[in-house]
Amino acid sequence: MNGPAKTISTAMWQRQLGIPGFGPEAQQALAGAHALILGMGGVGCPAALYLAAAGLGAMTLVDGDLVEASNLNRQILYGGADVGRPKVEAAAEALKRINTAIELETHHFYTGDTETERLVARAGIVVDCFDGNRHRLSVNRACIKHGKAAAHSYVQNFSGYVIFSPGGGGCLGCLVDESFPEQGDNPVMGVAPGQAGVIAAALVISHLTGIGGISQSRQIFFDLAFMEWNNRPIAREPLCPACGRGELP
Amino acid sequence: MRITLRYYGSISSLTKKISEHITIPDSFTLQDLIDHLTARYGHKFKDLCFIRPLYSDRPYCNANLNSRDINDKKSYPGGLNTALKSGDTVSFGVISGAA
Repeated sequence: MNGPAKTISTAMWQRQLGIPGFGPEAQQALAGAHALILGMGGVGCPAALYLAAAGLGAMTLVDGDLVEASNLNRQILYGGADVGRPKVEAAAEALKRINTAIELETHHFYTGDTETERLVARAGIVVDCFDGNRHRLSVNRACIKHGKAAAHSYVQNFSGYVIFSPGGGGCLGCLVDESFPEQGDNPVMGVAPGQAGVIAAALVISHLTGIGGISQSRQIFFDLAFMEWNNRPIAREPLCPACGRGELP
Repeated sequence: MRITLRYYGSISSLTKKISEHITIPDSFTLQDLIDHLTARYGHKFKDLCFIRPLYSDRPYCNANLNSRDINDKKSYPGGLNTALKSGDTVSFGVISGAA
């Protein structure tokens, strides 16, 4: 799906159109863009919300889960009345309330590697909010193969990482593999995935519009308990199976 | 001397803390600190400090000293042999967590 170029409502985006360097061309670039949001949890919700509010033209939302009460401390597109509903359905309603012009496609299922690659190939840019390194690394391989910029995220407690690969430098596979430890039901304060989602949305906006922007892959870390941040380049790992000499499976 | 430690991701799951202050001997290096914390929290602590993708043979430590990457040779030419100072903050973190 290619995001349609739409007539811009300048009233809705008046405040951002005043940003130096961000004019109607940048707004049009957002209106013509299509983002794939993989996972509509704590990171996917704020990322999608800010992209919709910024005027993104189209999004594909993917999540096989139903809204649970335990999601509500951080998955900010949902309320108590949404418990039991498919996340993508509730999210699409909320996003449409914010931006009535946005074109949304929803998939209420868990994607396997083949389906993930098919969706990545159709998207303009990818926000990977999946749990589990097996899934994230599958998304990473598909993004490298199809030349798509991607933001991957990890959050726990008050902190998190966003790994952004716009096509230059290393990638997620240069930093982690499936041997890295994981645990289900990580403890997390809602502000941490909120921050990761905002960072991911900002990276998408800057990448699509060329305002600011990061041309080389970066690992962005934040700690909201002690207000510490860092942002460092990702060195390419020569034997990375996605972007290095390793073989793609 | 007193230093501050911060733990992120899977390392915080192991230590069951996100931060603590400890007292260490004046002569401690970062390697001495990792050995000290490994004695306290078990060998998994050291494993997580040095975890890298299995196909990577680059030496790497998942630690920052005063918010700077300990692997950055410009900031820390001594790497793990860098001497710690009173008031330092050492952060240990592994890329991990949900989304």
